[in-house]
Amino acid sequence: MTSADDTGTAARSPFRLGLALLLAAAALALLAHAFAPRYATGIFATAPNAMVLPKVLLALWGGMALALVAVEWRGTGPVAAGRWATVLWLGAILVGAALLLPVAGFALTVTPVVFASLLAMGERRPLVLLVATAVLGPGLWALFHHVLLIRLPSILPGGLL
Amino acid sequence: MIEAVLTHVTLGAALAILIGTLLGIVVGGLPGLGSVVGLTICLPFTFTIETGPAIFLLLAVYCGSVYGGSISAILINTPGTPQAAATTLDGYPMAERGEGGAALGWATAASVAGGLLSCLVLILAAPQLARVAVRFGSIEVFALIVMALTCIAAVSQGSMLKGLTMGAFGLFLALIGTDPVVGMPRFDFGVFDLSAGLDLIAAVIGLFALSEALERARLGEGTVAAVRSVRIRLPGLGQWRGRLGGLLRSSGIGCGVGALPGTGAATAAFIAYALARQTSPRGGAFGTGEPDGIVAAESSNNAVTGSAMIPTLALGIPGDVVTAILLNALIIHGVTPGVRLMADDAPLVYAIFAALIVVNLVMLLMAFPVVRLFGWLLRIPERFILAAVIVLSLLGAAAVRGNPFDVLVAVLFGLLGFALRRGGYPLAPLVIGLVLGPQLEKTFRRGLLLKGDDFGAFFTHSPIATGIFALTALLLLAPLVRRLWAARRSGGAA
Repeated sequence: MTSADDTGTAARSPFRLGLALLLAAAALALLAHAFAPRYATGIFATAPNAMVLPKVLLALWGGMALALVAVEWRGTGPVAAGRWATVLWLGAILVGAALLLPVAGFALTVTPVVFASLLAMGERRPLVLLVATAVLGPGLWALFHHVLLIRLPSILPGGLL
Repeated sequence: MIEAVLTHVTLGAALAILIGTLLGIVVGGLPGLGSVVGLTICLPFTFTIETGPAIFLLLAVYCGSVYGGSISAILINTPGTPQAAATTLDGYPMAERGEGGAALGWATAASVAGGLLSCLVLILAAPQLARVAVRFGSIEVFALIVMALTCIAAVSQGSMLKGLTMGAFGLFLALIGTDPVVGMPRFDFGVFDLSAGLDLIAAVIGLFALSEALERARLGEGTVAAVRSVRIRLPGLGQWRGRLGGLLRSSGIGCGVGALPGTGAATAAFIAYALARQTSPRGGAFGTGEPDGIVAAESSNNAVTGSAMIPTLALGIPGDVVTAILLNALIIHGVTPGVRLMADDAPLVYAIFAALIVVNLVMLLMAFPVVRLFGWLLRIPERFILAAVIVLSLLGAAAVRGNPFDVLVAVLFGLLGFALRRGGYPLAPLVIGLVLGPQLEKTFRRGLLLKGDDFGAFFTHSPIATGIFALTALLLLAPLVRRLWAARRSGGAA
């Protein structure tokens, strides 16, 4: 499957091979964990069926992922063009938001997230940045948290902020 | 019964339909968003409203977005949703020669007609299927879920092997958390938040909304579309002469395809378009701006909306990602789709039927002002839309349970979804696996209890179960047989 932005087929795709390997490794690691003593003692010992379906699914997942590793090893993949720097920045911003949220509350997290996302996507006009950040950040937060009363994580008791 | 249904006719329900239709048309019309993103973002915000209006809002967003995709397909040759891809083939050529208003008129009329016909099929078929579904016990439902997932994997983009891998992955993810029978956590690795499992809404928000935002950012189109404002011009009655048969045929295709698991409006639209091209007296003009092409594409894709609800409501088995989200919404609001739904909550089911009819009519009224708005909306640089999607996604994930852990889940699934897309893995089987995982386990464990831990007995439990397992095996073997047959033929020709 190719997309319009791909720059053409090349050798084996390291990304696809790596992803297939990661999927296979995850499945096999979880399958090994499924045989841990914890799941054979105590209350699990009285209900052996509790682990049957997870083991079957993990075996299927792992087996198919290994087959995909073989397919990707032999196959060729398109070299995808695109603004990868933007994607990496956005990914980092999102992870930062998820880690900051429990300590800073939603309002104080989403404001820098919007600002940083717009910057990462190429917006450079200061006034536009400030207005867009105000509307999409604290603006949307206030609309949902205070007007629609859909409670979001907050840092002040009572949910003011 | 009528009185019971009328209890769902409230101001809140009417507002939900109006707002949902408007949101749906706008979300569908903006390229890069689409039905799934629209639904995943709206879903958490329905938690604070009553069941009826919540379901009507989501249905309105769904139907509106399927129609909305035709607006940008016609005006800027970019389908707002995958379902509208076939509409570009004749819609944009009409717009290029100054007939954009007429093209939108054909699309609007065909969409409404297809949607209404699909509602009729839903009203007639769902109760009948529910009567048949009473014969489905745990083992039959288990077989059905396995077949549905295989179907979905078989028709998903990319290879079937990748689809099945995603299905198994999704099913496993649904089992993380507390075992429903034993009551002990599995695969939580000592993380307290994981003992309750992964929240489905947060996962879906990440897989679709956030990963789509990342994908659009990678493409970096930043489009500012030059769009002339147009007014919809509905076709006159005389213009339908010779086209009604095509409309009914295409709607029928949409109804049939929509009821099958794994297929969706995009598939229906292309099948209907291809058939219309062969059967229409004006087939030679397809691709140059022939209204028959727009009628075929739009009536079939909107005809999917009602019929896709048939297996969802009657069996509790979603056919695609959109109905999976709708199914989850029903469950969150305390409505369990499936065999018992028609018996236990018939007024709500009939209210849903009525709401779908009303949504299609409201769509006809709202199309006129919303299309005028699109001349402005399509000029908004994409980065502001993506920033809004990111914020609404984080909002939605945080609003589900008020638990910051869900935001982390959404973000991680967003990154995972982006990586899987780049690797050519379809996300639909993963999501449907997540949705159906708990039910699969429940029916599996009950079946083992019934059969004394003998899984082999599942295959011979009843004619229905045997038939469904046989169909599943056929679906799995069909690609291999086709490949062997093709190799044999080419070997014979040589």
